[in-house]
Amino acid sequence: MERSIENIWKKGFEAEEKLSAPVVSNLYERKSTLLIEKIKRTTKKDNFSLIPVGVVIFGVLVFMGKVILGFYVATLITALFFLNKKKLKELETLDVKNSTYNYLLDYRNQVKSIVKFSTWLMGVGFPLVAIPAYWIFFRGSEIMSNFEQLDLAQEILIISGVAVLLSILGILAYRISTAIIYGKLLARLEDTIEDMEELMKS
Amino acid sequence: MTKDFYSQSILPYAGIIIKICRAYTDTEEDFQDYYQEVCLQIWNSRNSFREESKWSTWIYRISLNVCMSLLRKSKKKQVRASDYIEVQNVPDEEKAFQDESLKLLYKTIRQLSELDRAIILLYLEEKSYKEIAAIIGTTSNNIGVRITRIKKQLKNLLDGKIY
Repeated sequence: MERSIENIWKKGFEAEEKLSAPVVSNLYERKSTLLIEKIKRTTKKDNFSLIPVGVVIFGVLVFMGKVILGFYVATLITALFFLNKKKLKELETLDVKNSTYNYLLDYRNQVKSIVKFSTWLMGVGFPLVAIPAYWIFFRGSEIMSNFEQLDLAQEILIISGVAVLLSILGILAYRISTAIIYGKLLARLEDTIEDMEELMKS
Repeated sequence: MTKDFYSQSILPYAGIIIKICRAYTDTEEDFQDYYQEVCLQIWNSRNSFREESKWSTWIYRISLNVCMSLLRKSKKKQVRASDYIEVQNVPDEEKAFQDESLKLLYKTIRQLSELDRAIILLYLEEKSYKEIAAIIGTTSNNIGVRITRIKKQLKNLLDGKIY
């Protein structure tokens, strides 16, 4: 008698003893590893993207005849690249042999501390290095000679105003870029931690 | 994922999840991965379940979506990897099932396209054309036509092997 596929399926599974569910184990370990690896890859890529940005800015400034400013900006970007690299290396020191949950918590804390440091850097460091850059850019120009004719109080007021503006812009730009690049990944990190906490409660 | 959720909402449907995962994987290791990923996705999307359909339909849909998506990803990886090394696809049939005809049927089903595999699995699970159409997202008529074609294709592939 011809055996239909329906028959093979039905009879096959009736006799099948091995149709037992695999043990759901190490599920979060695997998911966490993949997530952390993705965050690491993204941070590395993000940091390496500073190099072409630095080269382009240097090239444009040299082309404009602002060689000193070009070197100044390129040096700052290079310094930022190495600073980021050092910070990211700190993430590697986390004990992966620790429990997955603790590892994720440690990782989240480290990421938070990097975000805090970077926000400070953009809010305070960026205006501090950008104002000299403006000075290099405008020195010898009409704008600078007009500025130099102002009295000290007015000069301080303008510099402070520019510094505050740069600080706000720096923090805003950092937050927006972080949300775009890392938003989804960090949300997934939070979700995974929440899931594991729920699992531990049950 | 809570143990309660797993034992109450997933385990009763483990049979069908296993059947679906087997149809999209060649090795025991992949099967375990696919099964775990399906369970995780069911857990992650539990709040999106609107009770407009049955829970079982929801499980079928997620299982098939996850398996098809993982298969696509692994195909891409294999294409990339095969540029450098010879990819070895080790069939793990022996560990999966004991029934020889069933093993052969599975092997043949894996030769079908991703979508055709989904349709024939649901058909073999005795789902109505309407239910299959709802899970796949097409019309009952289309499902009827496709099932006839898939069965013919399977019969040709199996010709002389199990009849």
